[in-house]
Amino acid sequence: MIGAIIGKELTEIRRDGRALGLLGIVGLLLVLGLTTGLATENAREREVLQAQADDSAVFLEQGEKNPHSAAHFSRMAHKPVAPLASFDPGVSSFMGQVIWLEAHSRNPAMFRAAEDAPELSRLENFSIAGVLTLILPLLVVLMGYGSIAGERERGTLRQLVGSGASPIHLLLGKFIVIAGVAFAVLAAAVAISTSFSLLSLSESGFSGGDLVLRGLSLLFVYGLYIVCLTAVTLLVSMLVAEARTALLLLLGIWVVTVVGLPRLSASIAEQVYPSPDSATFWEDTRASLQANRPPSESEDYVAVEREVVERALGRELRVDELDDLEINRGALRLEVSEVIDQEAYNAAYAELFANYEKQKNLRRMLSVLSPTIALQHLSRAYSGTDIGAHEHFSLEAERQRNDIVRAMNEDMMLNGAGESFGYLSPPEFWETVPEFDYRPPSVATAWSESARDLTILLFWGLAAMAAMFWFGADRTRV
Amino acid sequence: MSELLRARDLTKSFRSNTALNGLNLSVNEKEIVCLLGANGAGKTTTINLFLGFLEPTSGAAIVDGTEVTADLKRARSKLGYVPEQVSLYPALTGLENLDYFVRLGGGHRDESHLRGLLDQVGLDQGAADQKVGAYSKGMRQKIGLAIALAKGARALLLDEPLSGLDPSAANEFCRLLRQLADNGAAVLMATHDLFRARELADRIGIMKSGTLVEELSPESLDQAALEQVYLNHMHDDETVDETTEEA
Amino acid sequence: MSGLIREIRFLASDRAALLWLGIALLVACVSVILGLREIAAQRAVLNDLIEIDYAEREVLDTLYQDWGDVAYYTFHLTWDSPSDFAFAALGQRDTSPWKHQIRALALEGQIYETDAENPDFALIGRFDFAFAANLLAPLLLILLLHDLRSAERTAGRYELLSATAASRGSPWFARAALRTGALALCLIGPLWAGGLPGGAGASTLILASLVVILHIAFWWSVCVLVDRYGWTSPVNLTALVGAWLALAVIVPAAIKISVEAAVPLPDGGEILLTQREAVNDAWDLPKAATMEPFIERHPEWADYTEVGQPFEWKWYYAFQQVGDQTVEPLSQAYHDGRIGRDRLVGSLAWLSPPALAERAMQALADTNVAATLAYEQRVRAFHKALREYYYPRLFRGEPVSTASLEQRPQFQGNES
Repeated sequence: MIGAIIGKELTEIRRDGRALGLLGIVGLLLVLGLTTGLATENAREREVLQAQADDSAVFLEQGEKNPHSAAHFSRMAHKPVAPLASFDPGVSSFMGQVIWLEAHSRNPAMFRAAEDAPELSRLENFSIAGVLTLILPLLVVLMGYGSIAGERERGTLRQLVGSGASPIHLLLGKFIVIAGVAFAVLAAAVAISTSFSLLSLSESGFSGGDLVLRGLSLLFVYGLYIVCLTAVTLLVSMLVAEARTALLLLLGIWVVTVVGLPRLSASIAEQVYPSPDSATFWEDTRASLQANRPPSESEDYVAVEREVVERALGRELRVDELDDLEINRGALRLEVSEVIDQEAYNAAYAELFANYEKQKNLRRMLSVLSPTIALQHLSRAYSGTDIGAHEHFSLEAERQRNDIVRAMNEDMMLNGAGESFGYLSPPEFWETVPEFDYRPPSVATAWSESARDLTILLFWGLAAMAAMFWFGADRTRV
Repeated sequence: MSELLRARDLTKSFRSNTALNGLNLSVNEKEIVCLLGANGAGKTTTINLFLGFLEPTSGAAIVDGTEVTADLKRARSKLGYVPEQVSLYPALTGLENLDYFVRLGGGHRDESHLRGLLDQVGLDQGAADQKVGAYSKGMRQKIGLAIALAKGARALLLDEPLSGLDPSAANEFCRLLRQLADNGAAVLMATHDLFRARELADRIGIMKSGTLVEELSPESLDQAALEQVYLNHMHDDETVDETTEEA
Repeated sequence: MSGLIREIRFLASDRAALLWLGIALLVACVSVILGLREIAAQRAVLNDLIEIDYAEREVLDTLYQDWGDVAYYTFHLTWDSPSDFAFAALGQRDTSPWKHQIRALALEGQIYETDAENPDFALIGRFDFAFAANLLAPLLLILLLHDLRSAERTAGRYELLSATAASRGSPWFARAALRTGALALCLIGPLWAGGLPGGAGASTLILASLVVILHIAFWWSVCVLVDRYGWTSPVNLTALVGAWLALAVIVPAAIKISVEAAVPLPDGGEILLTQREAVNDAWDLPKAATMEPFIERHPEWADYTEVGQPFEWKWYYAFQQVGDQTVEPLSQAYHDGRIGRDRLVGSLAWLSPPALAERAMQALADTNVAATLAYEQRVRAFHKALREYYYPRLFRGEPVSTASLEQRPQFQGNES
């Protein structure tokens, strides 16, 4: 029986010019989103690779140089373009792309693409994800608003039920068709996007398998979104007497929950948990760096000194050995201050990211009112373009900074005894400083970090389906 | 002779308003019963109660021994229903509409059988493959009957099926109904067309304000009696029309 | 007059219409409140920072005996105070910097630093009045107006009403005008209620109200145009939402893409990298390689270019300046490119009334690209003044004195 319903609904859609026209428009928008996404992401990826190569060449060819001077110049850590940024660029253009791995300082990422982008209203930040979140609901609503209310108006519903059709089957058949068409659009978008990313998969450190899993995850969460949308649409169509009222109400719901609430929730979250401004952030960080530094003769300080030297030598020191060692004391001071400051820097950044997480949690709570919010979180997480992905990069870059600054300090400490800051590393030394080989987190990390968003979206899907069938069984009024 | 439709003290109230009051009526196989009455007399309410669109306040509607409220599915499987406006999907052809309704009723008939049915109700073979958007009312009614036939309904409920049909279409429709009844169906038809009722029905029930006030045989209705019935019962009731109550 | 009262009664009995108007009022109120709070928070941050800035300088001024140290350790806060109307259109203030701590080192390394705002929110955009009025209100108006005629047609009253009315279209005009007016009131009311006590001038508020009214009137005319075709309500609604999508989303996206392609910009990153290399290389280059290009720019210090020590402050500040000089062409191109992009967007925005209205409000609120660039120019001017203050003292080797410190330039805010 469901087969018959599906067949008939599809025939109706096929023969209705409006629905086909709409599908055409959605397809066009997706192609537009995809081409712009691919164009910008590919250009950015080329830029990143080029910049990395340039940076590496400059560093390796700096010749004889004092290692601390080199540690000030240091290296740049370039964030690779996320695997599915062409699907959902997420926050990538609003976050810095490069971190300067400078001695003494954990720098924030620089160069946000958004700063020089021409801007109109932020709605035009066009991507496949944007098209899908904004327009999939419209597609579903336009296919579904009349599905029950329209049959009721035409009188066919009465006849169907009168001839023994089960309301649940009727509902299920319509559900399958509407959700199915929307899902076909979605699947095409995700498949094309993922395939293009697979083709242009470069040395950016992402594996093809991971990419496919990300594509499937996206398919799943957007699929859930479609389930919510379809169920709500059918529910309204069922409860309202006339098709035009259903359409009006559904579009009203769209305006509020898809266009309005995501933005409202962001503004509320920003006011409840304000982000620190950079001046205050650095002021506080400097203060905690100061507070965290032990006086240079204290036990704590000496303990760090021992630790630093032992690590450089690769062996434990005897009790009084430290004072007699033939090492460059200036370099030791530098490295000790690096080790001591790391803790304060990491705490400051952890607090910053924790505040983002608090803001995100507040938005999660508000996604009880709009599944679009949870979907936005999930889409960015699975595309590898959310703040979590950026934090991972930031932490890895910091680890790299600690490593290369240590390598340079140790070179000066062990080989520059008695030369103070006049010591110059030999030209071939730079090749021994480790390259930054960034491995972005796998999709499993995104899964665990966004488990709560997934729960919320699942809850939405289940609740909407339950409501639809509950009222469907009970109240398919004829 | 088995009794296919039976109303037993069937009563339906909408808040303070009683739309149907203790109706007792039965329709046997091979029998056509017409319910006559003005708007709001309770005819449509009776049909809705048999179809299970409404739940009775008291009493029971019974289809071939099955009480509608006890087993709606089973009761409906034996019913065919032709409303005043047969509503079809304009984007589908006549044949596709028929096929769809049959499948949704849980049945399945192959295409030649369905075409045979359309032939039987007098629809042109050419029309069967046209979209119903362009159908006349008479053609729609024929599809409605074909749907009822296709599911092998034993009892037919018709709600004003003749209104709006031109005289020749109405004649043909009545001929079809007679044929179906002769083949064993029980037909309950709500109408306010006294003359058609007299020609077609085996029995005529006169309804007024939710009550079955008279049961007549067509033979007893001569011209004078017709006039009397008309004057007494066929002007609009003051009670609220049940269709507005439903909405 | 009685006609108006009748239409008001008619509106009052239309629950759907009241719902959309209620949402409009709520959205406008919330956006105004959020905007006011945001601006208050920005002001509070600025006040604190300005206070700290003065206090810190007071302490620092007693610490150092050498102008090199003074210039190195002394930061100066520069800022772009929000205008009194900024609450209504936060504009670029969440993606572009509106405060910098500046010192007399190379400027290009300092001027592109931005805040640690949540990038998620920058992506989504702010729920400000401009968003409510320019993007949400047209949708609400569409919901209000889409079926004025088609509903009557469906109800079968259209012919009767048209035939009865004295002039063609007049009952629709009154009805639509009332609803459009009510929507405009729901938006403008909260704007004035929040703006006047917040200090926004009446003239700005009048201009902003005019923008709202013109923009809403545009959408009204779109509704009228669609209604003329005599479609059913659902078709009207679909067509109107399609028009919104086209004008508010698709056209702006196309503008953005084409402007980015038409006006290429040097990569902002390139400026910083080039500058960083120049500054860093200077440490290892002969001193003359720094002093020569410096003297080209500042011939007045030609007699003081002798650098005897491995490290001298005047040389240090000279190579900071040379670092800036190296990237000057890039920086200028970047600046010109941004202006070029903004101009082009300005002309193309005529294709999208919502974008045009947004730009108009940002212009009224001083939160547009022009305001951002103006602030950048103020910072550059201040930085130049700082350098001009320090150079004589550094090159002549003058002693640090309170009297001399008192002459140091102070950043002047743009508060009204």
